Amino acid sequence: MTFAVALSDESLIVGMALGDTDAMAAFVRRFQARVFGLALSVVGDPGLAEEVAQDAFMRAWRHAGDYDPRRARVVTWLLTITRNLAVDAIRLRRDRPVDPQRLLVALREEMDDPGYDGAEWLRAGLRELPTDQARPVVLAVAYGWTAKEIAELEGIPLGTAKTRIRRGLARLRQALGVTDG
Amino acid sequence: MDDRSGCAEIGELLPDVAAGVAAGDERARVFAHLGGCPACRRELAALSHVADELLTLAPAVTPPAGFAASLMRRLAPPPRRRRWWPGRAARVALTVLLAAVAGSGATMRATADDRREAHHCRERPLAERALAAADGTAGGRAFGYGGSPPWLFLTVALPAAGGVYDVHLVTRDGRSRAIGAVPVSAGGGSWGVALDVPFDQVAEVRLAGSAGPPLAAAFG
Repeated sequence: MTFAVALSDESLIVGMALGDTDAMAAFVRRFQARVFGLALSVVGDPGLAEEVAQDAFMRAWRHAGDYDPRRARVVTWLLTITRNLAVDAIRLRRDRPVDPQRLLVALREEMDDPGYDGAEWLRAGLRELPTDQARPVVLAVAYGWTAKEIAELEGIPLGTAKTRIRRGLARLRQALGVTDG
Repeated sequence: MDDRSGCAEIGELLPDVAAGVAAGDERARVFAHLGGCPACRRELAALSHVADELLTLAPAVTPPAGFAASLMRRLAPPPRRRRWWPGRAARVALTVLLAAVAGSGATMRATADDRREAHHCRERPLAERALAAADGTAGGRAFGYGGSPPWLFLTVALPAAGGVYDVHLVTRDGRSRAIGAVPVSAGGGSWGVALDVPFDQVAEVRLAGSAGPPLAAAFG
């Protein structure tokens, strides 16, 4: 079976859950730049990012049957898998310095891809957030760091790190605007 | 009830849970509170949505040449699924199943909050099972999570249930022991606990007590 571009993300996942490699090929074509881009943003090394991205797709292939559309969009599900693997990868290689500023700058930048379906309301909120709050949020959410690790990296007390994560995420949540999330 | 002060304390912890930086005992306190507090559940859902969507802001970067081809060579068809869902028959069956699911929207909605609530601990559940009475009546869900420490999260949804369920954990070596209690009121309740055994050693979770009929979820 060949897949036309019009097939939804969810349809491809159903095909993958049934073991259809054509569905998987279409899925990889559709998301490889997003997955590799996030992996590279987190780990900072193209070779390691490629390993992470390959593993993320393999995990999506094996667990396609577990995808629940009520929980998350397909792209969010896939990028969460990617983030988890990227975090594991950089934790295994402690020698690699983490540069949250690089990722923060990348997250704040405008996308020029017309097919991009990211959350622009959130990008605007991230731009308005003071950097001393945005960096801890990015370290926690994208790098999976604990508040204690963030405090050590940023050279701030643990309580201050926790407060900045809370205030930062709470302000971004205000950008969401609605209360029923 | 001290709902108001409870919400204030839990509200402080919700961003930590959404960002994935809450400690195990804090997570357990949050999830215990969420069972009886729709407002905090909604707030955690919103915060988790924000955290998840942050990842979509990362720039797209074209991977090195040969990325997709190399990946496709690694694929091995998932044998279990192929055996269960052979070829065309599987697609027909899936279509029928999806139609049935769409037709049972009330049931799906009834468990949606529980699933979302457990999902928003920002860890993948290793396993999710129905909690059911001996006659098959659905009474809630049991979610098992890995990580350090592994932990268990239970939701009870059983009309007219009220009181307390004592929770017993049965491990694969056949031992059973009490690990805590789930308070249930107005037919609902939820509770989480860190485990001192790897989750793959859990065989069954049993609930018994004044809240309602005995319930069990098998993880074997």
